Amino acid sequence: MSVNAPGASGSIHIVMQGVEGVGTTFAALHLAQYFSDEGLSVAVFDSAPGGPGLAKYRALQARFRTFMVDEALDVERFEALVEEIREASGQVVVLDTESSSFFPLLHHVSSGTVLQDFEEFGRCLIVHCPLVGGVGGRGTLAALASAFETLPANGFIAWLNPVFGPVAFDGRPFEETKTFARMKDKLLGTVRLPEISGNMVHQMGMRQMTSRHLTHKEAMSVAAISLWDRQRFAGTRREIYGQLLAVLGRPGS
Amino acid sequence: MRSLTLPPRKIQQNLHAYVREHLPHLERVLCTGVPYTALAEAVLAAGFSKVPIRSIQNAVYQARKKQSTDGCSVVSRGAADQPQYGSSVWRGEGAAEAGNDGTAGLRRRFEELVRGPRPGSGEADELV
Repeated sequence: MSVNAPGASGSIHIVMQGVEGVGTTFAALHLAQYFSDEGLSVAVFDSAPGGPGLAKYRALQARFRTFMVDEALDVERFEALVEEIREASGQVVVLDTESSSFFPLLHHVSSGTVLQDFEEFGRCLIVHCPLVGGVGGRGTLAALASAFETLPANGFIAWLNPVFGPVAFDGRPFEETKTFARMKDKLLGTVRLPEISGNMVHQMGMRQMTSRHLTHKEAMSVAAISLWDRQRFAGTRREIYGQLLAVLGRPGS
Repeated sequence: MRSLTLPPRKIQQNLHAYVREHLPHLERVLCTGVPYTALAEAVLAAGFSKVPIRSIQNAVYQARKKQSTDGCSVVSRGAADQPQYGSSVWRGEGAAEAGNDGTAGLRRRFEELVRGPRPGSGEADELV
C-alpha cells in the first residue's frame, strides 16, 4: 500500500532531537499551527517527560502523553499513544518529544512493528529535527544522523535554528556536510527559522507570545501586543509557512 | 537511578557563571539525553541550593548565547573531551553503557559521531 503525502491528512510528524533546548517545541508549535491554519484537522501530542510544553497552548488542544518513566520508555504508555495516533487517521499528527526520550524512542520504534503498522495503513512518517550552531551544534547534527541511520521514516526535515549563531558545523553549512549528502534522498528539505537573535525588540515580542502560550492567530487579536509586534509575528509566520509549503507541498493534496 | 556528578561549585560562584564555565561538559551531558531534572540534582550536589529547573534551562540558554556571540561558534571536540571530567558523562560508566534498555548501541554510535575522529588518527569525519 502506498503511503499518503507528507502534508496530507493521516501523515505523522515527529519532532525529535537528542540535544535539549534547541527549538524542538518551537518547531512542533509552528508545524501544528501551519497544518491547522491550512484547514487540516490536527492531532497534537506533547510527550515531554519534564512536564507539558506544547500542551500549554490551549488553542492547539494538545494531548499530554508522556511515555517516559524513570528515564526509560514505558511500553504500555507508548503503545497507548501509538493507538491514539492510529485512531487519528483522518488528521495530521504532530508529536513533540524531549531529548531524554530520543534514544529510547529511536530504539523502540526501530526495533518494533510500529512503523510497519503505520505503513500498512498508508501513514506517512516524517521526522523533524532542529539543528543549531554554536557549542551544541555538532550534537544536534549527530542526533539527526542517528535518527536517519536508525529510523526508516518516509522523510526527514531539518529545521535550521540560528538562535545560537549561524548554523554551521566546523565552518560548513548543513548542505555541505557529509550528513546532508548521505541523507539527501530522504531529506524532504530544510526550514530556516528567521534570525531574530540580533533584534531585541522582536525577541521580546516573541517571548510575550510564547510565555503567554499564544498561537500566532491568538496573538494577532491580543490588544496588549503592539501592532509592530503583531506585524513582526506575521512576517515570521509567513517565512516559516512558505518554507513548509515548499517542503511538504500543498496540505491535503 | 543513575547519578550524574558535576564539578564542585567555586566559592561565591553563581549559577550562570558555573554553567558558563562548564558549558562544554554540560552540552555533552545534554547530548546524551540527560533530563534537566537530573541536572538539577547534580547542580544541588555540586554545592548550590535547590535550583528550579527553569533557572538551569535559562542559564544554559544564556551561556550558549554568550558562547555564540564570543565567537566560539563551532563545538569544540577538544573541549568536549576535557580530561578533568574523564570520558564518561555518568560517573563510573560510559554514557553508552549507561543505557540498559537496549539503547546502548545507539548512544555509543551517537557519541562516536559527536566526538569525531581523534586527532592524528587519520579517520574521516563521518558527520561533517
